[in-house]
Amino acid sequence: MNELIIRDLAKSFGDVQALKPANLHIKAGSFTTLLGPSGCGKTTLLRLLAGLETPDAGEILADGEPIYSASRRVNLPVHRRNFGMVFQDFALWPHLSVFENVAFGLRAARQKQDLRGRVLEALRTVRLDGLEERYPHQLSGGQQQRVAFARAVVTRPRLVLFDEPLSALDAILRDEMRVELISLVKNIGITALYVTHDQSEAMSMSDEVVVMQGGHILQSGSPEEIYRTPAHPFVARFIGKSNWVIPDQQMLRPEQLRWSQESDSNLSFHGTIRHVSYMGDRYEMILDMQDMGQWIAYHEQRLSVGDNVCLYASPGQIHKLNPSG
Amino acid sequence: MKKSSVRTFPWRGGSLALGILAILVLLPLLLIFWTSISPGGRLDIGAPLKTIVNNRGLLEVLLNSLGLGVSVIALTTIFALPLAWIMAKTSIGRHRWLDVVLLIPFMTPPYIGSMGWMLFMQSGGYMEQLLPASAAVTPYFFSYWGMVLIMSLHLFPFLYLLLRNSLLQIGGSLEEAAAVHGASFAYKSRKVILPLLLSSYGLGALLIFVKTIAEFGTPATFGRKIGFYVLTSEIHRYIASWPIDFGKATSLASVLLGVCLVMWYIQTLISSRYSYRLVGGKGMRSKSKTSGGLAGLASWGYLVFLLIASIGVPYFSIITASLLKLRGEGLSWGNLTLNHYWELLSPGSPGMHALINSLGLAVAASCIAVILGTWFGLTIGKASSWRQKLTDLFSLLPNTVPGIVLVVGLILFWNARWMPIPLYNTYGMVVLTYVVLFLPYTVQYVKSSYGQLDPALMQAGQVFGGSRIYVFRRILLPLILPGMAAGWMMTFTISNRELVASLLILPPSMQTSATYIFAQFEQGAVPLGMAMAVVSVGITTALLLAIEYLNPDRKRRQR
Repeated sequence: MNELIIRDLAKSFGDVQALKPANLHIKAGSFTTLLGPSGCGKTTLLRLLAGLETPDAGEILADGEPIYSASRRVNLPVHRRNFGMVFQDFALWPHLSVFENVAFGLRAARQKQDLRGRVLEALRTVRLDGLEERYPHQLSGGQQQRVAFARAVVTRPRLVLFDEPLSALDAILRDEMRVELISLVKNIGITALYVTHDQSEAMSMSDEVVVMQGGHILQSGSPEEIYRTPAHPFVARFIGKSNWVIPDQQMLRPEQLRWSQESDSNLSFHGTIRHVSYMGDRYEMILDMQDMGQWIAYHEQRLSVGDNVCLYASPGQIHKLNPSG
Repeated sequence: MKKSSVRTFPWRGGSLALGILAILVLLPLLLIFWTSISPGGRLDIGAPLKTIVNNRGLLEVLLNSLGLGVSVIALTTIFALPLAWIMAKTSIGRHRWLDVVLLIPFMTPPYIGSMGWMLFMQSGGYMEQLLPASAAVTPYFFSYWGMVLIMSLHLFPFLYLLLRNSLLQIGGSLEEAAAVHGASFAYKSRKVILPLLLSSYGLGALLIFVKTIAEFGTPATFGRKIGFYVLTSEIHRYIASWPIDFGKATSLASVLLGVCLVMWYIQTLISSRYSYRLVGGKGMRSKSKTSGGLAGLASWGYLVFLLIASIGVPYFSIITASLLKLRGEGLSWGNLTLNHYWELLSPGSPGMHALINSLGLAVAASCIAVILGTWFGLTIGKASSWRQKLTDLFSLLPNTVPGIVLVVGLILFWNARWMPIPLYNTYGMVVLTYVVLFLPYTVQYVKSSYGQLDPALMQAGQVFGGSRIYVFRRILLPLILPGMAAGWMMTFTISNRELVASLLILPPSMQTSATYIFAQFEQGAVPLGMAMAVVSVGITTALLLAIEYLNPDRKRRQR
């Protein structure tokens, strides 16, 4: 597959419009993340793609061929879409061994040729060789996660969907699996669509981040674009920390603030330190900036609460949001 | 953690509880075995089987029971499986009230259900009056398959609930995962749904089998009419009617007990080895297809057919029979009267005596059962020590063992020549029998209430200065009270309608509502009997509905 195009895809549940008409372009080999708070429509979009829900309107095209099209009355059933999926609760079948769980997609598609080799290869990729005769309940959470991954990729699907796959793991395992998952995805070269509410997951793993809220796609772009040039105040606030020069219109990020004037063109801001937190590698300061509300700034030394300070930034670093956004 | 909770509430007297249970439950059962293996003073372990195999009549009775069990499994499956599918997979399942309605057949005492069907199908019955052409078919109803039908219509809700719950659990992401990874509907059903469903089906089928061969009501009414005899009805015959033969009765009871225990053993094996924890996290969203058109119509049709057969027909017959002025004149508005109710409920009538007697016995039995059951339930706690496990096992045994077997054991025990306590043939004996039979309900409810309590609640009570008794009274008791109330009402309800124990244990000249209904139906004062059935089922059904709201498991079940 070269590309997957989503055009004006929409879905309502009763009176609630879970997904307002959405447009999206997923390139082959890319890692795209749908990011947003719960109830933003990201999971709905994922399930519409998988075919687990039926859209109300719009189109899903793979290389120009419709998978779903309201106008052309095409709706490929779930099992013919040739996707892989990693479920939030893994959804491993408890009555099947690890081998049979992974082999499921191949058997269902009657791809019997070298079935054993392909399954074992997939298990080797996720470092589970030797465990193929185990049953899901005999595996740890991280191992179950990897079986779910192997199962999703063994059929070489055109797109693998990830539905918050790390949220069922504990914090330490989650960080490990995040690194492992992204290297697996890159090594195998699959196209991935990943749903999460965790901004650090989205930023660290993705080629493309799609920020959603209230059923809308607010912005999509590389993690750097999203962070540096948010198109919408919600995006600016949801990802990273934001200091607002003019509320909802002009902002800059805490690390862009300087404690001394570096050139004459620098803008200066006056504020009072309200709170100091030690973060290990730096001190994080919450400042009262009077009209501009609360800001956050970093310093390598502890400053005293109540101090009046002056902060500087070059005018070019102030990001102006699209006022219509 | 567990240790400390036990230490906080040391239910001393654990041994005493065990001792009481041994006397109430275990010894009577052992006595059955003992009597059956020592015919004429000689010890012979194989004696009960020999007695049966050497007697063609008894062997036939055993085979009848086993065959009936298998047939009822088959028919309940035919009823329950499509229904479970409909309720789990289509939008019809959103009608929660259907679940309560579907419990009615199961709550109806089987002898009353059978009587309803007999009144409906007998020659000149309501079926022929409503549809004269059916006279050609109705005689065939009074056969083996008619009996299988009646019993299946009574038991299918049980299998249905099991299957529906496991379909709902499978329905979430496990099924979606299969579809996403390329499985068509047929492939998905074969490889994922059926295997996962099979273990709960196996459990359900075994329980249906046990309940069928242990049932007394239908064989005693319908079975007797068509001349089809099974273990329970024969045990009753050898004990209650001349010539009394305790040897044969205990042999049959031993075999029945043995079969049931083997089935329960297999059931525990299945549930420990082949059942899977299916409760997932967020993936539990089960999608229900909106069922319109032909499929929806067929689903509703099937549901309505089942409801008519399992509730409509028996209740129509019972209520009609209780209202008819003259049996000969048949169904017409002018032929209806409430006179039978006035006669039944008039002060001093035999019916009123039986009703009050039943209520009195039930109140006494349920009060004692709640006290004992709560004590045992708290003693068992989380069943960590062997003594607690044994207490757990013994106190639940009356639910495992067919009622009639336990009753035979109690008779042997309390009527024994060496028994110093003259309880047999008194009012107290009836109360004791009900208590023993229905103890498991209170134990279960209290155990589950208690199990959900964090021991820290009681520890906190002690930390803040409460004495042990104060903590019990102010913290523990209020928290387990719903469980106790549910146990009380359950015991009250079932004691009220219990037939077999009442038939065998009641002192002469005493009647309960169940024996009254039974006797009136046999002797021909059908309208009075049926009026009593309506009154007794009405009272108890209202109470059972109340239990639904108090059951401590309810919230978990509705997950």
